[in-house]
Amino acid sequence: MFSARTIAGIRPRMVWKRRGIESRRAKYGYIFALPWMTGLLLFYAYPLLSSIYYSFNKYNVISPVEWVGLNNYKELFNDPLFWTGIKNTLYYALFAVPISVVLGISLALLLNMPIRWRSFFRTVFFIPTLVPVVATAIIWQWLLNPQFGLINHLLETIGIGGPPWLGDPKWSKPSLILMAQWGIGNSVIIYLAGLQDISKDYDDAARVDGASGLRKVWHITLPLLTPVIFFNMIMGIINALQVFTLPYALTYGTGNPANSLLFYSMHLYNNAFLYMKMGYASAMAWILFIVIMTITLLLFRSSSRWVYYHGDQ
Amino acid sequence: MGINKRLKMVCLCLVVLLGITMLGGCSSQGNENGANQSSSAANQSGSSNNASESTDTGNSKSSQSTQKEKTKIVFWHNWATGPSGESIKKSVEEFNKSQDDIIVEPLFVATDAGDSITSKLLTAVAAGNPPDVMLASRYGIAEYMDAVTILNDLAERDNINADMFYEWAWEEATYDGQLLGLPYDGTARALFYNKDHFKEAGLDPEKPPLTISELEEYAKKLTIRENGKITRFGFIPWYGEGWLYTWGWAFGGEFYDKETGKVTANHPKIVEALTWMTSFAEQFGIENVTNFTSSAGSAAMNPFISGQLSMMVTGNWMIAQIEQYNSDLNYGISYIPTPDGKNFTTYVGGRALIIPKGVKNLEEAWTFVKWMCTSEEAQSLKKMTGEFSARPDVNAKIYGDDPRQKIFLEVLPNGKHRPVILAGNMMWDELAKAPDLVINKQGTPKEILDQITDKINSEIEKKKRSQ
Repeated sequence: MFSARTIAGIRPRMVWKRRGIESRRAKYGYIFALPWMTGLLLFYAYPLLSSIYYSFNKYNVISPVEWVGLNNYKELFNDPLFWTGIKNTLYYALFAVPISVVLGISLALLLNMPIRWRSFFRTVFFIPTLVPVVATAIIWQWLLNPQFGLINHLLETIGIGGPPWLGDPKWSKPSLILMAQWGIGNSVIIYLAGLQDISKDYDDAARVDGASGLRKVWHITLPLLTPVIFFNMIMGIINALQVFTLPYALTYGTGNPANSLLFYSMHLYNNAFLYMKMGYASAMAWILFIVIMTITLLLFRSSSRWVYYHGDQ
Repeated sequence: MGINKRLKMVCLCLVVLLGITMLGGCSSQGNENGANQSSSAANQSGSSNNASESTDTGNSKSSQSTQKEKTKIVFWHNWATGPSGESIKKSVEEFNKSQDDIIVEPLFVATDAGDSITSKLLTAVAAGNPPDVMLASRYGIAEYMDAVTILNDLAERDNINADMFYEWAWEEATYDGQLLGLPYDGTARALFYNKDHFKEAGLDPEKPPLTISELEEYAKKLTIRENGKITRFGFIPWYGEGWLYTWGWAFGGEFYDKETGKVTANHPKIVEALTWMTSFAEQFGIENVTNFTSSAGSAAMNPFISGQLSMMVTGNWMIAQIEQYNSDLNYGISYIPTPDGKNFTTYVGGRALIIPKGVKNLEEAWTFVKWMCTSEEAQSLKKMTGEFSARPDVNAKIYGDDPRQKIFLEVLPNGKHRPVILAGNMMWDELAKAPDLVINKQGTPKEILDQITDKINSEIEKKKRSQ
């Protein structure tokens, strides 16, 4: 655009021609993008917007839609399982996200060191993310099996009687948080990319100044990694608040034991597709959306205080 | 600075996009789990069927192309593999052979969570493109009545009535006098016990426990502890098919009051049943029981089949599984014990064949449904799955000479079915959770059951108001 305008003052005819080509090209661009745009409007925008409408209705797909005003929302606040879902989900996010950030960075730092077999280790840590979540759930169910599980067997050899893990409401969420770290490979990759983006010059300068390895990490690497940490944190929080597949596969949607694994999205799913309370479920989805949006915006606000971009003061 | 701004924008855009996918993507998330069927669903039907539909559709498509002039009926079912899948295939083959104008195409459609009417059917009906016939668990049909064709007139016309079926079968397929589908089959429960374990423990293997106190006494004798750890359990009330429904009825409770139309899950006898179930577990240590139940496997790893559990309440389909995985197992089948050792009953589930609303070939669909549910030929094929026909006379013929089925056939006429209400799915889920909530100290049995009763009744009220 900029170059086109400069030329415009000098050779108007040429510009006219160029604009013709551009608009003709643009036309093809739109045509090629059209299927995608139609899809987006039809399968995202339309359901999204209609779910606002349905959240004020009683709707079960098959029976006539009935306007109920704010009743769905009122009912939600009186639904004990709604609050159980919120509590469980926040508990999960509160622990799973920080743990995955700390663990992810530590692993990335280790995998960024010039060690032997480096690419082998990188692959090893990434492999679990390729396993489908449902398969992960089953593998961990075996590992954490209180009687025959490998983990309790190992604990027993060092004289610790292992807990019932997924069978006990006190241990079930910690077990899930542990399992979720299994899929940490994706964020490790992003951290690694961030680490490799940090210029060697800083490192060299710090070494000349005699900084130790730990201080270098704390004062140089981590601050320069903050944009990536920020990104992973936001993605992590959004994913954690929507946690669904793993607990659903583990408990077959029941949230056992004692509703301790009943997460918000599971309750939403059960209401929508098991009890066909689509209006109610839409209301739940919008509440979740507002919560996620609020948390994300708050994080964005705070980011100016702790996120440093290359080139910033 | 420009790059930073852009990075921030990209970040924000991603957040919004993710939010959108979250809202719009509920159903796709669900599909991811479609492959992993709910265990409760499997238990409700008595046979789990998760596999591909390829064989079914492949066969029928080829046969369809050769006989184009016939009316095609699409039949949704959720039994793909094993004896259940075979029985569907065989039934359809037999039917197609007997017909000149109709050809049935069976189509495997996985369930979402329960094995009754699914969201897939509702969307198909809403879209005006439903299957002609569908196999669905009876307990969950009533709440989606708007999606099915009421069959009273057709049944009356063709002289099909309650007398042909067990009472539980017909009643569970009827809501408020309206026939939602024709009952197709039944599953029943009884006490299975390991005779070798009985001998070891000095009990008479031909005298299984009949009363609840005998059951407790036997369970204690059969339990084996080694170094403080329980290596074999005599009995765990809710293991297998020991649902609160099972025990509630065994204790003489009623889950539904026909007069008032209200759910009575807090019936004193049901509270008693739940109290007994959970206190039984406390005697052996909650943690031991939880460890055991959460460790237990299925199929060949089923603790009863592998000899880690001496007695369990389970369904008649277990006979076939035991035969398959451990045919040497020396076991007996007896009544589900009751407090006084009398009035034995059983919890009966089962399916109906329904005709969704808006089908194009109603008469042809009805012909198929009628054949499947009432003809001796089709009902006899239930033998393949080891489950029961919905018709007493057929069961007497196919199972009459099998001693293992004796107890079942005896209690079947007295079988109890889940109430036909507008919140059957929710009631199932809530009651299934009740023992777990009690042993994890979320409330006393009375409190938990009061809560459930209130919740289900208010849910029913809400649904009734909008009708």
